[in-house]
Amino acid sequence: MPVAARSVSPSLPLKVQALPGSGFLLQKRFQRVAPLAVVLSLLAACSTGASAVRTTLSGVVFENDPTANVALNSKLFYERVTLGGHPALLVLGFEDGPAAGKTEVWYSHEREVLRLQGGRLIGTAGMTLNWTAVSFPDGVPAWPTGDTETSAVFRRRHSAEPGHLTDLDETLQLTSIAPPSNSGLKDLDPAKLRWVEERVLTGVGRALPPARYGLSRALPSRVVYGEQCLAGAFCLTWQRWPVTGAVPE
Amino acid sequence: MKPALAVPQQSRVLTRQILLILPWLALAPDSWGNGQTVPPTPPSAPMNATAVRPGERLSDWLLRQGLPAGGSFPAGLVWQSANEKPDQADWKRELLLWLRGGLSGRGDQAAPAFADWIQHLPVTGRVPLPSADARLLQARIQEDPVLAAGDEISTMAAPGTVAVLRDDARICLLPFVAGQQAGAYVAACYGQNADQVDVAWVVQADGHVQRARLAEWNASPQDPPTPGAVIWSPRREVGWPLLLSERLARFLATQAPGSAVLVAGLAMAPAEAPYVPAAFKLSSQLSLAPRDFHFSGNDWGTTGLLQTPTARMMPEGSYRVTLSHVYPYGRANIMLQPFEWLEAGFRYTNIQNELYGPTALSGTQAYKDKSVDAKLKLSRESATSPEVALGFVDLAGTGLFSSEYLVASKRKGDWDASLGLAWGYLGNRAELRNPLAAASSAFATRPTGASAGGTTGGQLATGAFFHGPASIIGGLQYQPAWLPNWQFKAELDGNNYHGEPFPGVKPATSPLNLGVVYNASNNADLSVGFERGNQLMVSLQLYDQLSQAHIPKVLDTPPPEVLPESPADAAAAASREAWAQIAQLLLEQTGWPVKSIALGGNTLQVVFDPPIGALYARERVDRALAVLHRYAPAGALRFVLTFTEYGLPQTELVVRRADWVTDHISRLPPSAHRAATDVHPRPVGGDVGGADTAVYSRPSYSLNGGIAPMFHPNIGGPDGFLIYAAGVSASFDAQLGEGTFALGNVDGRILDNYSLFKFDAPSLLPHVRTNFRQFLTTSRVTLTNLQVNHVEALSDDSFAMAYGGVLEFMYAGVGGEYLYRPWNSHFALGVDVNRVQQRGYDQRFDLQSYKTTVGNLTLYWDTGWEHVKSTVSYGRYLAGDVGATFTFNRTFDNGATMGIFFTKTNVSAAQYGEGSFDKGIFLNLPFDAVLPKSSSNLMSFVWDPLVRDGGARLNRGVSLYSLTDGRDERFFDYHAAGRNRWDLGDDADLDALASSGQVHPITSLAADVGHTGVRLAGQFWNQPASTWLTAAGLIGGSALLDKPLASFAAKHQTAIYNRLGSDATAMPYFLAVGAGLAATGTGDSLLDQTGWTALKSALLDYGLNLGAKLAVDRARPVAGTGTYQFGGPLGKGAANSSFMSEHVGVAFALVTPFAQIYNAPALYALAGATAFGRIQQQQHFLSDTVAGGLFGYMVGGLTLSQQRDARPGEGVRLSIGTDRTIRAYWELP
Repeated sequence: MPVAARSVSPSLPLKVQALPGSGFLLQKRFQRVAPLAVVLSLLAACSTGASAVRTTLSGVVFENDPTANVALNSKLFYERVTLGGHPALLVLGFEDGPAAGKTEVWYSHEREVLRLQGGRLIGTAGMTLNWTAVSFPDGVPAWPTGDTETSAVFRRRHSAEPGHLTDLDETLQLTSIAPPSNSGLKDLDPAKLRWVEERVLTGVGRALPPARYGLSRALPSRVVYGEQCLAGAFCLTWQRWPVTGAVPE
Repeated sequence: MKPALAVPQQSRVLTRQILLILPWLALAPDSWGNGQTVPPTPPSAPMNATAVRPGERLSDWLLRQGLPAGGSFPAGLVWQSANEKPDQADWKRELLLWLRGGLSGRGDQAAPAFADWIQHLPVTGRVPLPSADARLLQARIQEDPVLAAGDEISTMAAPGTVAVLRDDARICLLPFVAGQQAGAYVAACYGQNADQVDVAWVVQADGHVQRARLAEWNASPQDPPTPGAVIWSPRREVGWPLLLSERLARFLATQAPGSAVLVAGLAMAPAEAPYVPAAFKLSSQLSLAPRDFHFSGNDWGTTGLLQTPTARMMPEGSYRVTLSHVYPYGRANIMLQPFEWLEAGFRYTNIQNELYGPTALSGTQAYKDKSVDAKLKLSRESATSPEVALGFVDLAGTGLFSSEYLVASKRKGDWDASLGLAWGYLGNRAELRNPLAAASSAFATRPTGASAGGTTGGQLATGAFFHGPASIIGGLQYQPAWLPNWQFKAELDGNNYHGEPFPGVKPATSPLNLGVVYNASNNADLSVGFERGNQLMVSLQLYDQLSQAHIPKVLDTPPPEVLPESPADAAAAASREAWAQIAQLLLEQTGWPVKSIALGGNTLQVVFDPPIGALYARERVDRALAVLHRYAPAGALRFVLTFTEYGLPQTELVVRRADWVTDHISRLPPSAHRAATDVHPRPVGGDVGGADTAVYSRPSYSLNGGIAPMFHPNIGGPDGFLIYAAGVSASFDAQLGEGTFALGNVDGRILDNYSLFKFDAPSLLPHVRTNFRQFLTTSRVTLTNLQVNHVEALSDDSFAMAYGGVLEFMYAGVGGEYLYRPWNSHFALGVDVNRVQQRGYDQRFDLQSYKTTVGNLTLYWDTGWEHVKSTVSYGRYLAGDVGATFTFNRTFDNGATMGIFFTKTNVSAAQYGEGSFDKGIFLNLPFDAVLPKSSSNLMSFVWDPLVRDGGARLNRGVSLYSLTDGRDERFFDYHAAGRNRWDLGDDADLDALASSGQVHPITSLAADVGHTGVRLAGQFWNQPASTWLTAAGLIGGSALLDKPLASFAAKHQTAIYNRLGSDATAMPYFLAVGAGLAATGTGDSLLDQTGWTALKSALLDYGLNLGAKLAVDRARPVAGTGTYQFGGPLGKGAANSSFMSEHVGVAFALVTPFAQIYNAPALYALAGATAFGRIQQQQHFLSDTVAGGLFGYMVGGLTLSQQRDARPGEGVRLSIGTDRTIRAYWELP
């Protein structure tokens, strides 16, 4: 049956706001390789390659936040997402599925896809690591509301590419935590949010840092901020953007 | 982990199968291979197939099904394209031919069962998909297929099982366990025979085929099988050809997941039908993921343990920099791996217990030694044999550390063991008598100095190779799974340190060395060791695989989006200003300046002119086409991209706009993709379809320039290990008119330690280079280049250049060059002549008195082998010496180049001085490989160990060969490494398909010669008696003329006859060179194959001839003892026997294949001329030449018949097409 989708963007093909450098792809590799490349090129003393070297240097040394001071389109919804600390603004393209459990489909300028459901990451596509077929066979418990509350254990199953990893089962548990001081939350006081940690108890993600969510105090189920590592070197954060209006009062 | 019963609910049909058979398991025999057979099921597919609407995209279809994210099993999304069925039907036919012809012919018992099964499998036309995510595909239309009539799309739930296909045609079904490795499934199905499976092919559910190395000797990381995967796992003893396994796996990948197994249930006899192993036990413990064994470098920078080398190598295209210290030696090593079988490099050794020279010369600087190493892999490791390598340390240097070694290495799981013999420095413990002394007593002692090969250093001391006593070397390396980033090493050192180059080194108190390596990252290792029983070693290694270096261009301006239709405003590109903006956009996107744009008919032509630059032309062409499609009028159906450099014609591309657009707005199936991208370069000047209205032309004058950092190091001199200067370098490139351009460069030295730089090397030759110190230190601002050049195309294939000015930092002058370089040719020939004068030390405009004329005749040769290019440049050098410079380099697909050069002139080693002759190593790396911003330039590193005056070349900044690089057939082939190709079967390593398991290519060639020789012996044996009688009659009859012709020859020893005789005798050499050129791909594949057949014939005939000589031992005419003087078999001097003539035999062996293939009997006359020469030179009688010719003709003809009669699976000829497909062809009897 046709998907109950609400197309959020004005039209397709999706006109994603062009923000220079707002794609992730392989930013981290670029960061790691670029210094070596610059050193090598200096040693090679090749003068006519200078412009590429200069551009690389400015990208590495003087990288600025492409999400700052950007004129936003009031007709679009944005999510500020970081990968490995590098920020980008994603635009909401679609909402798929029934209203009760709709999945938000967010797009980057490079056409990468991030799926969120109830503020929780349930898929990526077009990135260097992609989660697919994410499901919760037993459903998802409600967000803990007390300061020290712990939820029931629940299951998550997902597949991952590259690697042909299929049907990886994990058990998770939610726990309320104090506002962290080391999150990727931007331009917002962590104390204004209620924080929950989602820890993998068994399964492949057990060695990874727990996911964390910052929820609105006014609307207990509204996730304002989330962070999760899909692999050791692949950690995402997402935050409603702009900050103004992202947190219900 | 789930118990066996709890298979997922979604796998409907197979779940029912397993539940049905479970009650029988308790009754099943407890032995492998006799498990319960799976009952056949009706052929209703467990898939959800929905009709497509022709013209809709896959994303639309997925959304119609309510699957925006691809569903619960995205890998099970199957796209069957009607377009692909013909090609896949061919695959099926070829596979059946192999199974029924080759394998069955060899007696493989299971081949008929395989064939029957394959016969029943449908031709589906399946094409793997990059993604099943509709929302991703909507945003990336170039990956979203447009479905056509006849296409089918289906989804399915995860099958819940994994199938193992055994080499006895049994299929074993196992429950899928998430994350379980292929080896575990194979072990469950084969039992104790599983260790005979070295390699398995995992056909994943998404249609990808991956090779999994499973054995203890070759385990490497791999993806686990998905639900529905089929693991084809032949045991090594069965001997399935690699190519056949690849073909089988590729065809199985065209089937929907799980369906092939279902068909097997119908097709096979009950005894062969799929089964569940009776004794299979599901384990809750996942098997450990296999790991590569990390082979690090030793103290010398070579892949090895600590002091000793192993037979291991770096990955092809790698480099390694090693800094190590163990008293008194600090070593800085740079090793390269230009080929899989060659590891080579150089080092500087700081010897702390010896001064560099007199204190007045070099102060307290420690002695520095330069040396070069090389290691050759002789054979690859297999299940039953080790990897073997032969190596040389300090091959061409002072010889202080000269060593040779032969070493073998074998892996078992987390352990790697090595054992070998070392001679020289590495074998100084010398506890063994040299085993080679059994062949010759000369090997018992190791010569030094002049008797070894020279006293001035830098020469190959071949006289000492493998001489002297030897020592056993070897060791173990352990890489524990419980400590993944660490390795532990232990070795038996072959050196006891009693005979070090300089005194003051404590001898070893133990021959055992121990060490530990920490992998700090994917590109760095730290090592610590305890050596000799009394010394601490530390080392740092940096390494990477340069041939795989690549980085996405995240800082490039994105190209215009490709839309299906030409944008409406493209028609507005009518004004000259608009076209000028388009030209500017093309420059921004490609880095290529646009010379002109012309329109007419249905064609748009863009001429790009210099600098074309380095590499990755295809990516740039795509960007240019994106711009043109965006802005060109809709009526421009063809784009012609013409490349020139300063007006010199390079190459041209003609692109059909519609095809290019189609390929960029949807995911095409492979056959359609190939058709759409079937664009081949052509020479400039082809039909441009009426594009004769110029809409843009660039002014003929232009100026470009730039400023960049500058760093000039001098390493290893007496003034200090590193003498350097750093600053800025400003350069410009000015076009002054058609074909006329000026180049210039100014360096400004800001930071340096030149106050230490005082030493000038002595020289017996004119100081043409050894006075470079004065040039570097006199002035801070120097003009290093300022020249005007003019180039002309004299014809389609020949070019000329004249130039004058400051040609390099030491010389100014004028010169000219001519180059003949046919388009797309393997060869080019150039000549340059220069009249130069040495410049003033301040590098301004004044000149010194030294003048000279230098020039070269240069042959450029693209060998066609492993992308190796070679140049031979013969001429006169700056010091007036005459000689030749040789270069060899290999360029990888991403543009990384590794090469060597050396020069030999008529200057003796003594005159040349230290180093004996000029030589060096160079490494080029495109900026594109390492920077996230596109660049057309290269980084170049040259190591020239000594600057001397002999063999010194004029360093011209620009040459016609570099200006015509666009005429190279590889111009469009270079690309970024690591591109993700998702065509069927392309996970396979195409190079490995052609490998016979031997080291490629030297020993694989040797194996081919050996195999041919064995078959030749059989062919000789099977010749009828009449053949031998006829040959005997001809030889005997010709013997009647032996004496008269010998007398005739003796009376005709005048100059002209001697000249004719000498030239005729040289004929086999010319024929061999011709056959060699034919075999390197100068022509088509038939010429290639025939050339190789001719060379093999010559080698085999030479061997046959040698045997005849040893058996007959006939005196030569020149001995004057008559025509019938014979010694006994294997007599002294038998190898110099007159019977048979090897020259004539080899000549006939070389020409016969060509003469028969191309029906050119005149070639025999060339071979026959050799007989004249041998008789005239009184080296053979007539009957000797007749015998040699007859046998050479037989060998050539019979070897050719082997080429023609190759059968499937046994000498199938393979060719790799330009579209990177493998084609196997043979002729059936």
